[in-house]
Amino acid sequence: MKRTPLYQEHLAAGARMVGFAGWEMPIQYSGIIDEHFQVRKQCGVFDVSHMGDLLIRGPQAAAQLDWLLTNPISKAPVGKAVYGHLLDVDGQIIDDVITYHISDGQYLMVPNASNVDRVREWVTGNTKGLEVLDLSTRLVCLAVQGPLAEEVMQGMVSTDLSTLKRFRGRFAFLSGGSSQFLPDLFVNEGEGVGCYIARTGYTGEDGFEVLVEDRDAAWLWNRLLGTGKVRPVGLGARDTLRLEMGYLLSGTDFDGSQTSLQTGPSWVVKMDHPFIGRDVLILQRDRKYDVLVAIKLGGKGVPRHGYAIARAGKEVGKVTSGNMSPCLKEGVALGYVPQRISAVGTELAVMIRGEAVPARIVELPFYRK
Amino acid sequence: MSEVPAELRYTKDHEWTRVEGDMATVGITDHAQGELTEFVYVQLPKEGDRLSKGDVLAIVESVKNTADVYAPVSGEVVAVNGPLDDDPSQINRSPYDNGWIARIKMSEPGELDKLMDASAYRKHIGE
Repeated sequence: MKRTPLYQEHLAAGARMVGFAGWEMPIQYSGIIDEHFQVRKQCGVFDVSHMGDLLIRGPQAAAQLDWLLTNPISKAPVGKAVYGHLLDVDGQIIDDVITYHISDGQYLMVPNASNVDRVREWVTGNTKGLEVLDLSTRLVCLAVQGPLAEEVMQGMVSTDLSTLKRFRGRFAFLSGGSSQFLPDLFVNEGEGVGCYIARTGYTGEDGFEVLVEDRDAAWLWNRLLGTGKVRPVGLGARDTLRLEMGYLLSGTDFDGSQTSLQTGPSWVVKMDHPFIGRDVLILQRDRKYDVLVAIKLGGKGVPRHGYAIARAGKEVGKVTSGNMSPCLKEGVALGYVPQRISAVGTELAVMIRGEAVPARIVELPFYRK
Repeated sequence: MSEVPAELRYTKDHEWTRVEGDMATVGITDHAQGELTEFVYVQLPKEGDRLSKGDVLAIVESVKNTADVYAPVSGEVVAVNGPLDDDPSQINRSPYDNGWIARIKMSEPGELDKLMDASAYRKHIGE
């Protein structure tokens, strides 16, 4: 199994390590619920270096990437990030990715860990003359998330973070860190630049994702923990945090057999531009299909992946993600049901060990501040 | 190292049993709670349930996982730890005391001989 450059730091912080998409990653340090609240109330740092980093550049890179993305990137100015889906020719989701227009004509696509090779091959195979560089082994990504994230990160970078909006990123000097960030690739970003910092994340909190070269990783990690305001957070809390927001988990909430119309969110598909899979989505719009809904339990119990969703005693779908929401202290789930019974307020049941536990469809996010 | 009190009996599935006369108080071990992590829900048995050794006595759910708790002995459930309904994390904080799950009036006290003592259980969990 692969290890990130922060492996020793994880052990030193008391991590329990697990295998995840071929990587040995921390699932928890102090405890999942504790870490969940650390992010909701203060600030947590996640090592998300297992996710991919594909730098894509070359002739008409933006227009060519639009052809692969449900949500086009070509309108994004330098410094903007776009969340979109990559669909196969049947309209089914290959992966959900964030693509940064990182520097003029260069795009950084971040696929999920288990899909890096497939996405790289998909991009290479469906574009012409583009360079697709896998930077995954050269970069570390730390997600610094929570209400204190700006205050904490402002102490580490040269740029004024109060002017960095959500889904925007920029290169910055790393105060006290090394002054190098892939100078062979980003020749025009100025000497001394040490990181790329973006106001993105997958927790529903304010926060940043910071890319640094490998050799700065441990230094930045320890500096964050040294502030006393940040604590390390593992994959366990990453999952409960994203679930409270209703964010999709690749491989779980979509597994290669659903389209973006089924998963949503609706804004992720922009039908006014051509892209692979679009013709299938247009046909699907006029048919009956199952959609992903947000379900809250009315009774006791914990909904889990694979549990049946029932209505009037009949199975109508399956839970794809579920857990006890630490903030709401109620069972929450994502799952697929037929579109005709997918309206907010619809009464359903989740089958937990043979018992129909009452539940209803609610709006996302489950948790609002 | 997890706590393994000397006076209790253990199963390979990580239940503990405290015997007083013909009563067996049952819970899950410190080792098990540490592996399963923070409990968020416990499905308790009902008083009056009659169980055979090995039947599902309770179901514990952590953030990560769901696990069955098996009856280490046969008998009738005469008491359940109701407060776990509201605060299942008591099992994490106090697995051998406030975190007990149920009390069983044993019908086959001879079954106790099949349970492990503390040193055997310690070996079983590799400590």
